[in-house]
Amino acid sequence: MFGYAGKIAKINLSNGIIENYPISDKDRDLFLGGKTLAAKIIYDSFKSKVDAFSEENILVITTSPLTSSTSPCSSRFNVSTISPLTGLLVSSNCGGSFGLHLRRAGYDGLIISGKSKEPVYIDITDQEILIKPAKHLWGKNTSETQILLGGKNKGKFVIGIAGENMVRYAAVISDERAAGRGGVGAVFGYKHLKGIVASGKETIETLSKETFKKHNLSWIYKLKSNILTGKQLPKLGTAALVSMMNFRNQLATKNYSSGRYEDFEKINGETLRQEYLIKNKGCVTCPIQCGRVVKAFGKEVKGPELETLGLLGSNLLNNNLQSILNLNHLCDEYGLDTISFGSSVGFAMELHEKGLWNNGLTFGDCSRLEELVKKVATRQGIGNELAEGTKRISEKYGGIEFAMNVKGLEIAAYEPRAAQGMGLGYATSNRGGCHLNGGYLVVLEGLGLNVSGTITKGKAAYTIFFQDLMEAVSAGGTCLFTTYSLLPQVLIENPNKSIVRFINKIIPFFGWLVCFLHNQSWLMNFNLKGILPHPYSIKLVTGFKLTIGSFIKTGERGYNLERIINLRQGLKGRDDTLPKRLISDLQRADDVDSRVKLQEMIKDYYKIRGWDEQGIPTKHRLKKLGLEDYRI
Amino acid sequence: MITVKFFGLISVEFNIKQLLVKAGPVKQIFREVMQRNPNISEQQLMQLIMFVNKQHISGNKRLSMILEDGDELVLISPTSGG
Repeated sequence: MFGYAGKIAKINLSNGIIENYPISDKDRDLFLGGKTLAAKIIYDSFKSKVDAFSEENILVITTSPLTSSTSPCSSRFNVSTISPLTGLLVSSNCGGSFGLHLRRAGYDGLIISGKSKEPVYIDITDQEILIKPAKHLWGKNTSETQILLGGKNKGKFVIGIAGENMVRYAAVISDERAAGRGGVGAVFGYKHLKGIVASGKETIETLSKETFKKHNLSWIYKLKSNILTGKQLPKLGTAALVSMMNFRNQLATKNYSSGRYEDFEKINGETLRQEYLIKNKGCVTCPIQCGRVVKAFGKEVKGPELETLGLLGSNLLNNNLQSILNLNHLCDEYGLDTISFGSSVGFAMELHEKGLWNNGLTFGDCSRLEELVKKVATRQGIGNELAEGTKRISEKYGGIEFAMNVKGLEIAAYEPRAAQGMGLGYATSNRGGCHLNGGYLVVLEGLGLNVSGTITKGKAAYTIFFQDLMEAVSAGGTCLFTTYSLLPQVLIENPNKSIVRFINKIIPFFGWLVCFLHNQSWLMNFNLKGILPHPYSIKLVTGFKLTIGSFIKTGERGYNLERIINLRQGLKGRDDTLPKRLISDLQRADDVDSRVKLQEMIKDYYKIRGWDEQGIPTKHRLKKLGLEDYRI
Repeated sequence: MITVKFFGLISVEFNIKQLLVKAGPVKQIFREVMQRNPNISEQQLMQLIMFVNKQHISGNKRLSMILEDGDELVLISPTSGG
């Protein structure tokens, strides 16, 4: 077998039984790995709706054919479960080294079922899998837990105190990287699973070793010579976006009541670099190195991403960058998703401002925020309520129209009223208000290309294309930043040239072509390794006959399967929406287009997806994707 | 005087955040920027995305646009992704 270790272990924490979970070659071919393979396993494992906090819920950790290979940016692995925030399927991706070490232990994935009576951790080597007591680790933060689990050449994946206390947006941490979104850490906590450690010396066979090596070298060269992956991300990190988002009215500010923050210069990527950056640090096998190392509490720690700067900065009117660095570090230590934490606090501040919840939190006052992280993680005082996330807070205190979540998951830092496609992406994303799972169309709408963010034409087709593409890239095991090579560099570097401005104007008019190709993916049964290297890489490793067309179809298959699981979990088409603030209130009073015109896009979206008016995939579409046996 | 602010790679690579320059057409302002920062080329300035008083201005007409005292000109390198 090429590209896979060939084993997935199923570990039952209730009775301690460990067995091999069968995956057929056909399933590997259809679902590749990562989040799509996890969706297949979760679909097969549940017969009906499952609650996040129940013994029936499972955690599925999956790697991908490129994980631990020499392919660039390929240290990614995935964890999926039923989310305590949304009650739907959540997949969370992580760049820590755990996935690489899991493969070295000889496993492509793990399925963790049941619930232990006492705190435990799982120790996986290439010799055996043991469930061990973790009482001595319970109550420890994520860095200390990883130190106590010990040893070099081991991959760790652990929760902090927030996960133990089942904070609904608790993260799971590997090294300093988080599987942050959707509350996977809370499911670990529910199962009394403190963490997993993996090590071994197994190797995974690559089919075409020499060609793969050459292809990787040329891919690395391409990434290094690209303005975004070779210059911008290494120099400024994802924080580079703060300034541009601000000028484009896309920076979540004061609980998304605005897209601009007057103090953005105090928290942007330029200031982060000039005043706080110590050095870069990236994931294993990554030539981009977008990660930042900064100081917090006198220690060198991981710096904030764009999302964190937005949600803990502009969204709270917090202009103190050192405060954001400290909060980011505390969230990592306690094991909290910075997006959902920041959004929950911002929502609480607005509730307080409007007299709906007397909680003492005010916009612009960051003096209590560090204490608040601890309170949330330990569920003390108002922290216990903030730990439930914006949806549940709004059910208790009101303000549902400005509780900034979709399906229960807090939306990311991109204010969508100036990026219609991003708004559609948030509304339709399988895991809720996620920018990446939503297709990240903002990259065309001002952050990269300069397609108008206020028009809706063509946005449904492009959103679907990017959703499916990112799903496939994720399934393959590569960082999503590698998809920037899809954007022609000449268009990014020359935004003022007449021809580039013309192209930006006509892109929406080619939605029909994207839609046509989406439905006739066989027309893309070829590889353009210089533009989309991913399918060719996977082909070289596994021998699968992957092309651009079949690769994107794999993404579409995964997206539809996730949708089926969500429908089985009780999702309705009416849930594909946004908070009222974004679809009804104008972001700028003088611009009638500054709201998300969701209704203009959602019908097209369903139609192009091959879903009926209720948002249910049709039998015809499922058959086309090889999913005819999958039912709601 | 007008305030010229720089963001993104241009700011980092040339270690430049802000300049105060005389009011006038954008083309003239670009010349002054190059005089005061000889390492910045005209081509690099032409590639930057421009906002005047927070309004996005694009196209060739932007170069002949006349800025007045108190105006703010933002020059920002194209960015993407996060």
